Amino acid sequence: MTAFSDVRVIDLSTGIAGPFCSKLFADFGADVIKVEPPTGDESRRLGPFPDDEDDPEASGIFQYLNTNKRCVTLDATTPAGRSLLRELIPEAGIVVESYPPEAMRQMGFGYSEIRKLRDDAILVSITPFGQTGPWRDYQATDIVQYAASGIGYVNGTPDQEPLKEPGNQSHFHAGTCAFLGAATALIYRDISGVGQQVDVSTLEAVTAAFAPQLLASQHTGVSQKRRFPGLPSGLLPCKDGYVALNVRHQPTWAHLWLFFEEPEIADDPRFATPEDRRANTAELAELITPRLERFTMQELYHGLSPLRINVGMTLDIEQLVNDEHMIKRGFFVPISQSSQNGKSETQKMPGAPFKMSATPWEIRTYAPSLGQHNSEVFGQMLGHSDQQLDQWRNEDVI
Amino acid sequence: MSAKLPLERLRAVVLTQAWSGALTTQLLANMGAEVIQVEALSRPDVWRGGFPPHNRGQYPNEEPGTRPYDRNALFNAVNTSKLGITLDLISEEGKSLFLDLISTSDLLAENYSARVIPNFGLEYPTLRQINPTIIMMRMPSFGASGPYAMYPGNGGTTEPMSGISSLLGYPDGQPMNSGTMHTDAISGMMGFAALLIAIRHRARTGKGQYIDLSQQETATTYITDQILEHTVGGRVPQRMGNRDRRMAPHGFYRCRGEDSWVAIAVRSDSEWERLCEVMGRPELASDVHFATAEDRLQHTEKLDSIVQSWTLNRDSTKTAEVLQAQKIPSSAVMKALEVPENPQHKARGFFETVDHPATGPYSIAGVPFSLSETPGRIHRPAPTLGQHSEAVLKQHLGVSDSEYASLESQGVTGDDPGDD
Repeated sequence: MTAFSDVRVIDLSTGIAGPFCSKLFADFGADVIKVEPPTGDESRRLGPFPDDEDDPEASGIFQYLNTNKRCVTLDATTPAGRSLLRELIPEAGIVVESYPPEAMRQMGFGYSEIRKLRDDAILVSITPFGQTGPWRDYQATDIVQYAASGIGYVNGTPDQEPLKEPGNQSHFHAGTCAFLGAATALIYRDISGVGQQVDVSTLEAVTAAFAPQLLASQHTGVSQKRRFPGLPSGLLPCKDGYVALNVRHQPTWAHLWLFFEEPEIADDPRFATPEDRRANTAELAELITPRLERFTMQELYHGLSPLRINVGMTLDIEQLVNDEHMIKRGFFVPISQSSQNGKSETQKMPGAPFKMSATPWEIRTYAPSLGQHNSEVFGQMLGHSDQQLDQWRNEDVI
Repeated sequence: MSAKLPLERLRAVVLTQAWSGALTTQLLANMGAEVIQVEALSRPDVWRGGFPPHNRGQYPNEEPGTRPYDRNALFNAVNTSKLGITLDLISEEGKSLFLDLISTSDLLAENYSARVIPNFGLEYPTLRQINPTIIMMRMPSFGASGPYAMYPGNGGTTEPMSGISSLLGYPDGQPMNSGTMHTDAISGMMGFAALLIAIRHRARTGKGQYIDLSQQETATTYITDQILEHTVGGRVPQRMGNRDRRMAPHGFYRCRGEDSWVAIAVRSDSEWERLCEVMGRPELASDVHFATAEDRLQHTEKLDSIVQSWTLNRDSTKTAEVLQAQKIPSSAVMKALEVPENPQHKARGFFETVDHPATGPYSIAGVPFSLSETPGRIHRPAPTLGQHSEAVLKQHLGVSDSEYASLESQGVTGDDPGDD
């Protein structure tokens, strides 16, 4: 018995956030039925693709987001498709969707309609700004979230433009928050029998990641600004890259100079205390930088870490995937059956987000092909005949 | 009878500190669990900002007061709804009381460096002997196992080790860390996901478990699409500033006023046409250099200078409003003090006001998921140092008045760190 082996999720969402939410359910045991339009989820076209050849069954992000899920196709813009969806929803305790606000209601699947189909349903809705408020119909992409949350303003240097976070992290934040809301609602339903609606605003999910700094700015009355990299806590150049180096405590300051084999510098009165070091960062940089440049990232990491000094290597993505620690912990896993069989040993994706002893993350099945489970779900589960399914296929309903 | 909040029947004793773990257990507390935060009087949470005269933090009106550790913004932002007690885990009495607490709790969470828990003698097998169904979550920077497990780490080192810093920066510049220790927030949220999975598993099976969360791995998870660019696409992704692989224009564009910027992202040809209209440059829509996304991506520099020449003398907020009216994704790049004033947050009540005994009222970002029946909320302000030591030890563990006085005089517990 896993955490979610009694849970079925219907996932109507597209993009990254909703599928990441339902992936967390699926990877920890739930039966997730992904509902795609007959033309396929947008993420089947996003890639990246092996050898850059478009293939809706090989899109990297689709493969990652849809492990352990079943896939049915259904055109919710047709009456027959909506009728099928009405049959499907009572079979699931949780529905995840990412339509614009009001779109579900207009299709006949607002929360009150879903409650009629299943009284204790949990409806999880993920949108850029939430189901309510003056911004609810506003448009967003990742960069807009980093603007509105205030996080972008503090990334980068004071003399240049602010910077968004790299990648598409706002969608992962939203997907995680959707899972947190849904799992909490599930635990509450276990106790009370009551379902509920979970309204996730991507902006709130991202802004929550700035909460401490927002309070700090309120207290000081000044908005946090961008800083130049380098000391006291930024990335510093070394022989083959950049390291993060944070020498906060007195003993570690001394250890640093033992490592450089110049222990007397630890007693230099200009840098005697953390306060002194903060006050004299420019001189400190002059002192430390040439010494760091004698060493590689690996030498510094493995040389300083055992001395209790906070040091980090700035790994690029290739170095990260090949990192000894990541490999030993088995973090990256094959992306599909074919890559596991050696078709391409380098095709890997992030695996368990955390290691759980009693209900471990696992891949039971790789991502489904388009409509792979139509017969299983519409036929065996809902009791429709092969003939009926063929007719729907011909009519592009499924 | 049903519970009023999803997690109100749970008790957690936590050694979480700074941001990541503290955020995990704050979410737990905001959703109803009784969370007892344990600190040492001599070594409180580092996010309290330390003791005078070496204290360093952001205090209301920049006044540290006599107990600055009760007034620091960072601690007070991520420890709402918790109880705070002090226990010296190195002393025999302190450790024994801690184990008593474990025996009456459902879970323990901590985010120390991985060598600390073994040093305290608080490893999972030991705790399980005391409480067979305990859930224990450890969340060190690099996890509790593997070759780097015993290395120290914090947000500033986890970020470059997760690959994120290699991607953050200007296209021709050096890698950078974020301005926020961003990976802490990621692992904080993911830590709560792990706890919820364990809590439900325990409710179904009666079994506890051990969770090993590596902050490096949770952070890496959030850039999966960039990892796949390498493992599937065969490229090593590089820093690209605010540029995007599919969209152009795409960036933060300078506006009127000091350090003022607006985000604009154009997802399609029709959005580009609408942007040209809004900019009063309809002729650009038919310019062959910018006809398709591919064309625009090839001419991003020219494109960016056109867009910026339009934004340069405009107000950032008004510009975003004009673009949103045309369904083009946009927002002003907000400064920290502007964020809580966003009408969207006001309308949804996302920021909550807490009245803290040592700072007075403050407003902080609330729970980032809204539940219609059981909304999580901030039940009480973050605890002052040792605020609930006496109440928790007496009520939960039956410590007598005289025993408590003796423990306090030995410095095992209390709320006064003394002059040291």
